[in-house]
Amino acid sequence: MSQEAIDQFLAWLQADKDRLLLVGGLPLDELAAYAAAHGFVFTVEELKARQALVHLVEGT
Amino acid sequence: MLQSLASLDGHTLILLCLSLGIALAFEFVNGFHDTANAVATVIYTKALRAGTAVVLSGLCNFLGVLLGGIAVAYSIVHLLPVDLLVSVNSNLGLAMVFSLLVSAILWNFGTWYLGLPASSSHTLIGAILGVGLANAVREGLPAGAGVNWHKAVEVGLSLFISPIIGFVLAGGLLLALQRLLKNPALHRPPQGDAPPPPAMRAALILSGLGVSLAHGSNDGQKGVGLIMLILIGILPGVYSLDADLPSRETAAVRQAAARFTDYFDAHRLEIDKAYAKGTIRELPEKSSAVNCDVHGAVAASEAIQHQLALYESIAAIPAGERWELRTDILCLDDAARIMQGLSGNAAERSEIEQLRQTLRRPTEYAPSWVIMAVSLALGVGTMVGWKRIVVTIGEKIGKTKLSYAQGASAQIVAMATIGLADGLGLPVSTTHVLSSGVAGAMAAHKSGLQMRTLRSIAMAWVFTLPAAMLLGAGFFFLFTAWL
Repeated sequence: MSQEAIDQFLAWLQADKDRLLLVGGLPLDELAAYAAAHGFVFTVEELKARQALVHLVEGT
Repeated sequence: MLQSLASLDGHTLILLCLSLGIALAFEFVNGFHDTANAVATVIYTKALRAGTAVVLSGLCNFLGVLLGGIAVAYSIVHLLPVDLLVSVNSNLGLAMVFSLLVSAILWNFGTWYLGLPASSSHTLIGAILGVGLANAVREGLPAGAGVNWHKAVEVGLSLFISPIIGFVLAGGLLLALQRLLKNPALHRPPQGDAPPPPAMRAALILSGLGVSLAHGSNDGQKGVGLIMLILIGILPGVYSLDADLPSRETAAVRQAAARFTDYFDAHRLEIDKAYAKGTIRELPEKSSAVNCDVHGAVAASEAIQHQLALYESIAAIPAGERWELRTDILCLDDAARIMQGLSGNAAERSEIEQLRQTLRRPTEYAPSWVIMAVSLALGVGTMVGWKRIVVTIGEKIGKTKLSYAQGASAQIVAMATIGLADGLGLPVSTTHVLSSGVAGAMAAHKSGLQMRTLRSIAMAWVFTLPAAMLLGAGFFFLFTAWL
């Protein structure tokens, strides 16, 4: 599911500020594992690709 | 080269290694600064796996520097006025080189560390303009004499227009693709783990690699230009002229100088009139730089012919005399540039341009080891950059989407625009071209105008350019007082 799973995971995080704070400092592999444990399956590379796209769109 | 290194004293050797290290670090930082842009589309669309995309992008950056030529490199170098370029083997020249390097790397690395939008092209060009202007202030010259404004306007226009071209053409290409390609899957963001349809996948991969190739060519040459300034400044006897220039081309340089002697002799009256009218201005006498003016053109031209008549090739010229020949070539070229601007005849201007290119040939070159070192720094920097991407979980990351067709449109246009700039010898901001291409494709798809892209591009002009100019000027004053 990858990118859709990232969307769903972000929506799930944003629904609860405590969850968002909890993952704020996690290394990427732990973040992906945390997401997988809650049913959102994506890889670290897919998450980085989404961040790279943000850089591309923002021109940074 | 090793022989010349052995003849250096310890202090100069340290200076050389330090400055080469900083210049290569600038390229390395440039590589990892831009990785995300180069590979974002192909990885996000699953056209390629991340590891494969990053390695291929690094290789294409490497090849881009190797195959890109040196026209952009010398476009950057010639932002500085010829008076400063011919004094580059002095302490003033060393202060110039170090100011450029330190300001460029500090700003590039600092903005990356702080997550601020920046453009390495604006940084480097700002630092060069700052150093040129600071030198004019230091010499008591008018600000207009501190920078080669003709070149600065050319480079400024290139930086300004290229994102607009990217925006308009990528939007236009997307609209064309929407009419031609009716498969709705091509106009949606990627879904699931499936790769794009085969033809679109090929287009995404090839254009993505093309962007990396063009990036390597344009951005790599900025580093090549910097390194040539360093080498000419620290080892003028070895690097001030291309010792490998074939005898045939050396003879062509001599012939070009002879043609200029005839030209300046034939236009003596017009030159005197231009001085009298103020069209050509006399510059005040300077303390540290060589005086290059139109009055001295014939003497410089005759000196070039005399030197090249004595020796069959550049390699045969003793190291101590090469610097004078380089100075004469640059002074004559600058005088010819002024005359080219005065000429009202297009055919004559074109002929002068061709003669100038021939004349400058021994001074505009880069040894293969320099190109190889920059290629490696940029290539490795690109590969490392992917590992250094820091994910910031937040609202923005959740809203960003890109369809296959939008990604391909932006990449194809960016590849063509940067490639065209390479061909014209003009520097562009690869990040700005690619991002404005994405913005154009999004606007055409009615996904809205990306204000964040506009803000980043505006920041480079109103923030990075002045900041780099101030840093360049500040370090120049500091280093001239210190060296």
